[in-house]
Amino acid sequence: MNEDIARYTAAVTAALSDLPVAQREELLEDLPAHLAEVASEGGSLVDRLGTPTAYAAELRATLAPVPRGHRFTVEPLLARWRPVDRRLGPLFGHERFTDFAVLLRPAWWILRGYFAAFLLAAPLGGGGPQALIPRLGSSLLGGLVLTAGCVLGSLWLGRTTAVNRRRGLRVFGGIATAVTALFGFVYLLNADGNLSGSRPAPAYAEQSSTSNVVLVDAQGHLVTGVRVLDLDTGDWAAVRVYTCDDGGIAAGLLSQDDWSWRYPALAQYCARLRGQNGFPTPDLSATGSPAGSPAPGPSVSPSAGAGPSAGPSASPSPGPSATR
Amino acid sequence: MDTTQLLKGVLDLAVLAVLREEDGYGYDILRRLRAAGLEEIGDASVYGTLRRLFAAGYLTTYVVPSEEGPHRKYYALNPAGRSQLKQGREIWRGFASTMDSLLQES
Repeated sequence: MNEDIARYTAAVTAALSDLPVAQREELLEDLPAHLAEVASEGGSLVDRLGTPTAYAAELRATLAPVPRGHRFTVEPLLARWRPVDRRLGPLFGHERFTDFAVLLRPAWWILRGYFAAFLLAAPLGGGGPQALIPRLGSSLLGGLVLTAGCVLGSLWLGRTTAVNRRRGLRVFGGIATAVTALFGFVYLLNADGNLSGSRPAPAYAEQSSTSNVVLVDAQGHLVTGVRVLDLDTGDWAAVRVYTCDDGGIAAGLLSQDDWSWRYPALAQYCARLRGQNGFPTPDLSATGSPAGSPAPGPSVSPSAGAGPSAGPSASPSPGPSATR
Repeated sequence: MDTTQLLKGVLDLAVLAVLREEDGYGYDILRRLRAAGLEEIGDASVYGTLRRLFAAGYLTTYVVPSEEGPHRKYYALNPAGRSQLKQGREIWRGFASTMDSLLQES
């Protein structure tokens, strides 16, 4: 009897060989089991069901009409995926992996809403490149409200598209998801780069700019035309200059602990200066500029792109009163 | 014109209708349809329709072991299937009454 079923199935399959593989597989997946049910009622299959060719023709008539104009289909890919799907499923305690993935959908909807909030807040300067909560302008509360709204919206969209098969809504959902996923991926890469220390963020707060700063040498003579050479690249380096004020280290720029931990050599240098009796007074006559005006010459100025490594190497030479 | 032509359009509805009261397996569904008067219906039509309704998400299935013979795959209406049946019934009634009045011999 099993041979009968196998032969009948093969003949039906052959008669439908022109169908797309995935469609045929889906249609015929259950056929052997179904034929076994029929066969158990007695009699040969051909007696009960007619010839395989006629059976195949009748089956074909039940297929949903294929919409025209859709040349590209994902069916071949799906057909390849299905066996893998079934094999992976048991590893996750389900018949198919897809069943498991479907259970995870709400988690992804939440994540999508979370990143959508960053995406919406981005034009408003929504938090730094490693903020964990977006800011609305600079408001944390606004950011939280925005995040909650986006998460709820994303959950709603997920629930609705899962039930409602309206095309416009699904297309909108698909585009929104793709854009958010891309943005979220880039955002994560960015944040990861920042957090893993490839670009350490400054440990001090921005200070209001200091004016009336000059560079002097150890004798108190004004130093002009200073440039700092980066020995690694051979280029002029962007520079940050830290002060060793009388008695204190880098007042207002860095806490003493943080500063000396970061740049021990500079800390030692300042300590040595402090050990000497006071600082020499700058001799401003060298440039002829009135005392108190900003020195035009020194090109030592705060520079956003300055690597921290430039700081310590620059500082020892200027001496007592350089600032950032 | 024979009934096979007409059946094609309403097969889905007929299959959903016989599953309304009681779940059934393929051959049993065929028997119920024939008993209800759709005698021309073929096994392949029912099997193909069940596969398609299942793929469309209107039916759920479960397997029941049988003492004499192979396991049987039972089909049952789910909520989507019930609402599809309800919608189909309304469409059919409107269509049938239109055809009735068209064909009425005065």
